[in-house]
Amino acid sequence: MKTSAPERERVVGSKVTRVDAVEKVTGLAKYAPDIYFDRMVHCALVIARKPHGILHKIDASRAQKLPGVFGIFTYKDVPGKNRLGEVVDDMPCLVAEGETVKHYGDVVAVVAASTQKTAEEAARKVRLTIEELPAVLDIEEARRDEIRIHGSSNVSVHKKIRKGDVSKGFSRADLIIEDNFMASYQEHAYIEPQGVVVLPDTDYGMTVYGSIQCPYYVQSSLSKVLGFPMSKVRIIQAETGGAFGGKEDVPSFVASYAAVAAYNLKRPARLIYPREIDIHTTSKRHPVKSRYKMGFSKDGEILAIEVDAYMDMGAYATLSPVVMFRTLVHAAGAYSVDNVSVDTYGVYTNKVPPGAFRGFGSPQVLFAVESMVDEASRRLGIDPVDMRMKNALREGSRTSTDQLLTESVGAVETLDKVNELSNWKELNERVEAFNRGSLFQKRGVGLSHIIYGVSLGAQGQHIDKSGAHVQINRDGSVDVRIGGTEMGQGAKTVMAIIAAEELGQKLSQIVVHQTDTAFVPDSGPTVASRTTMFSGNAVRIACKSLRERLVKLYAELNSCSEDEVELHDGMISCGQDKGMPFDELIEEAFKKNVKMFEAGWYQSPVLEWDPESGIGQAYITYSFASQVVVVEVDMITGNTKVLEAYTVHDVGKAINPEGVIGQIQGGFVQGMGYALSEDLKMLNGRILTDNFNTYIIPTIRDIPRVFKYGIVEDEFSEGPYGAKGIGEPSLMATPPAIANAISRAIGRRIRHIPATPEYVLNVIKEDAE
Amino acid sequence: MLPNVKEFIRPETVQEAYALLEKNRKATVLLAGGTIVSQMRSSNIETIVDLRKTGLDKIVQKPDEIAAGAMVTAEQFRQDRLIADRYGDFFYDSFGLIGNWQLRNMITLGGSIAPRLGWSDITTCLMTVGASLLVYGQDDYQTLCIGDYFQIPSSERPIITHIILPDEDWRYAFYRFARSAFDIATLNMGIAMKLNDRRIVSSRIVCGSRPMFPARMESVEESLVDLNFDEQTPGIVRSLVYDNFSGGSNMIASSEYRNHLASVLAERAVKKIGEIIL
Repeated sequence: MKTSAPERERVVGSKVTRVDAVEKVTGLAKYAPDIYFDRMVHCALVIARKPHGILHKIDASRAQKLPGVFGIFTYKDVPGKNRLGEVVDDMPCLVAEGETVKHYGDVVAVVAASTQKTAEEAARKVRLTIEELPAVLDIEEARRDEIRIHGSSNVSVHKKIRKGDVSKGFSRADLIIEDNFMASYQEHAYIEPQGVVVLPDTDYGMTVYGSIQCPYYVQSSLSKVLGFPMSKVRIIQAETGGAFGGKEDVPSFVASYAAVAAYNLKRPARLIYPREIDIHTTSKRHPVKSRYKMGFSKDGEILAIEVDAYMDMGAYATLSPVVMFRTLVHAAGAYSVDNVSVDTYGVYTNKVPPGAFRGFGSPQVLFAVESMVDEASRRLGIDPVDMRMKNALREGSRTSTDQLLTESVGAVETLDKVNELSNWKELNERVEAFNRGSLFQKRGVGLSHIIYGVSLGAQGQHIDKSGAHVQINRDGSVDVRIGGTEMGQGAKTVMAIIAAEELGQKLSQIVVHQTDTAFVPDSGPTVASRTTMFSGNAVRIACKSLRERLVKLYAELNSCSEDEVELHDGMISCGQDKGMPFDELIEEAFKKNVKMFEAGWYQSPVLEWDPESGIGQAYITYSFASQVVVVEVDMITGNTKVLEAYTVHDVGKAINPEGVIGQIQGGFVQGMGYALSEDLKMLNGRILTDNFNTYIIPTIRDIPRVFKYGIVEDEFSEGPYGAKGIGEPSLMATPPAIANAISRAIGRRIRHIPATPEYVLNVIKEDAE
Repeated sequence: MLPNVKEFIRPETVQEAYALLEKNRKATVLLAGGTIVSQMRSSNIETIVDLRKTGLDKIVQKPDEIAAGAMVTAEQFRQDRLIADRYGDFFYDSFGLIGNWQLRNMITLGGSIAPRLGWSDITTCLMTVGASLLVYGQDDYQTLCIGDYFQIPSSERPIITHIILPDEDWRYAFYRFARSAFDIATLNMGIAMKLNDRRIVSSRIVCGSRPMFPARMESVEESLVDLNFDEQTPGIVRSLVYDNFSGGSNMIASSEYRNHLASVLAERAVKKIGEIIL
């Protein structure tokens, strides 16, 4: 049997139209707010609006008198366990009287009413009596443990890597650099806020439609909060307008609040967050404060690296311990270093709990480590590309956790390609020439080189699996159901390409359905740039079985060898015969009762990991990227413009190149916002920048006029067709590249992101004084 | 959101609009371009009075001035031939920095001034060219300078019908600084100078988004009178603006940074004027 046909064009790697493009562009796509059920109630949340205090009383009497209010539900109305939190369940679903509120956005009650307006008005009328307590509002204050938020210490999570002997490494070093860095919050800024509709269903359980990244998390959470078996909780993902990690665990909370209303009223309940409530209550990128010490030989070899990183977990740990695992593994960067010591700590504060966000705890430390490497290259007088090249990981190298890399290590190739793409030497000369002729505008060229561990890694391997269900209908159309979700990143298109490639059916005849927990078993979360690899492999496995049956059937019908049968673009043929349309063969299969559905299942290879030493196989494989950015800094105002960007990503295999390009572009712009303008302001634990008029994300007018990308395809044998992941690495190279470019432009080191104009000007002025 | 709106009225004259406003000011809002009203949150508003049909959307040449209707949009004003003939590229360039085409096709001149927006680039630019307002209220029509308009208590404030642009031969420059291309200004600065040969006869130094409402820096203007405009002038203006700045902090920027920005933008604006005259 032929598994591929080099003489014909493959669907994998070709340019295709997004399978969900028309529905999204024309408005046919159904998002949570578009879903309506008879007798549906509208919900609004009552939040604490105090950073820390004892909740003495919830007085809903005034609110209950409002016409149209059906119910105001508190902790007393939670039928199951009043706890939330996917990894650590330290968060109440609804804060109880007598307990402490721990941040401004703590949810105390859910109001259900006939209209959204009435629900919101009633929520405002619920009076909370809170005895305020002193609040812990930053990492240093939390570390002092004078005010404790949970248990015996605010520093509740610690992870470490101990590889080699850093003191020996430092003793051999010609140059030792120490520095401190701060990477602040970032808001996800998905275009569609959080939202769900929960309804009592015909199976006497609850069905949830929602803007959801991880339906199985929602199913598990609701099961606990409602006290229902999981078989009575069904989650159907509505179209989802962006997530970036922000809809990983948070929809479990949103759905739980709405479910409490639906359960008590026995009516469908809709909860759609206004943007302000979304920003006040939901997760962000963690602020991380880090101290780095690195030792280098005079020829640029990294001899030792020592890192302490403190992560602000906010009021509840939620996903922070697993985010911190990625921080730990990525802290030493994309380099081969013999002596590594990394300590990461999670601290509680009385602020909004951060969580998952594109890069998952790694962009903060990659900004820091790449700043250190850049500073070393400057002090040693070594070209930044050469410096990275000298220390880059290759096949046979060992990572910071001593993992041996045996295949698909495209790191060096990304450096080579970005060098070529940016015309590195000439670019630097051009920038130097500009600077010689300009007094107040200075340009800088920044380079970054990053690593990204694909999928959940050693700490999440127990949930690192995915299922798929593929069914060929009598007319030849194909239903594909996966456990991963489409949230704008293009997962449906990739799955359709894989199914079309394997089955030989036309892409237009493949339908990838919205994810539904009733059809596909728990497939883990749609995170960690794992969907192409895990759901993709599951779809491919299912399709391969179906293909085998189709090939066998065609060979029998035409008395030819199975080895000669070929399926492609809706036709099946054998040798030089005239072939048969795919749908006609399926008709034959149905007549002969051939099984035309199949399940696929893919799970992570086992990873050996020692949590005590932080040594072992942290991830199944790694993606790499290198990026060059040119900025222009106004030395008088501190303003930075990104003028040019060159970025190269090792993705293993670009199954849908257009989708990969879209991810590269989008990730760059989101990374640019993180590096420059997205400045989340707080006052006494309350977020002030609670909409996009004050929280500034980049627009089309801010993106660089020159943006060139390159794709390296160093295939990974476990990935479908060799694919790895691109969702997160697309962002991660940008903050350090921009920070390094600014540092080069102003001749001083950027140690804080976002590097706002005011901050940059202060750096220019302080060092000048 | 205005959840309690019961009436949407589109009067055909200013007089009719004013009468509707007077009926119940606390419960009425005037609708110009819609960018402000669409963002309002008030449960008090019951009536929206749309000024679209009141005929205030034209720009006309008068004997010694140009009168631009309050409903003229930013883009319409920016592209207008009369305005280009009188002010060269000043408004074309300055208004081009505001938002995007879609937004500029909605924003109106009157709608930008009346809500007393601190960050309005339009107000700063209009104050820079010495614009005054023709308003209609209980005293019939009257002309007021922009500052005086806001001295009138809001309960009695008339409707802005026209922006009156004087027929003068000055030199103008405008700069804004923002955190992103689409963001409101962290600070904006407009400078106008009347010169006799190279002697500064008079000037207007207007600083907006301080974050308070744009204001003229009169002490700086007085210091510049009779100064000879040369290569030193931008630096002199920078120092004067730095020393005389009055502004505040908010979540966008600190007062100190704004003070610094004001002096820098003033220097750049004067340099730009210098490029025209030197």
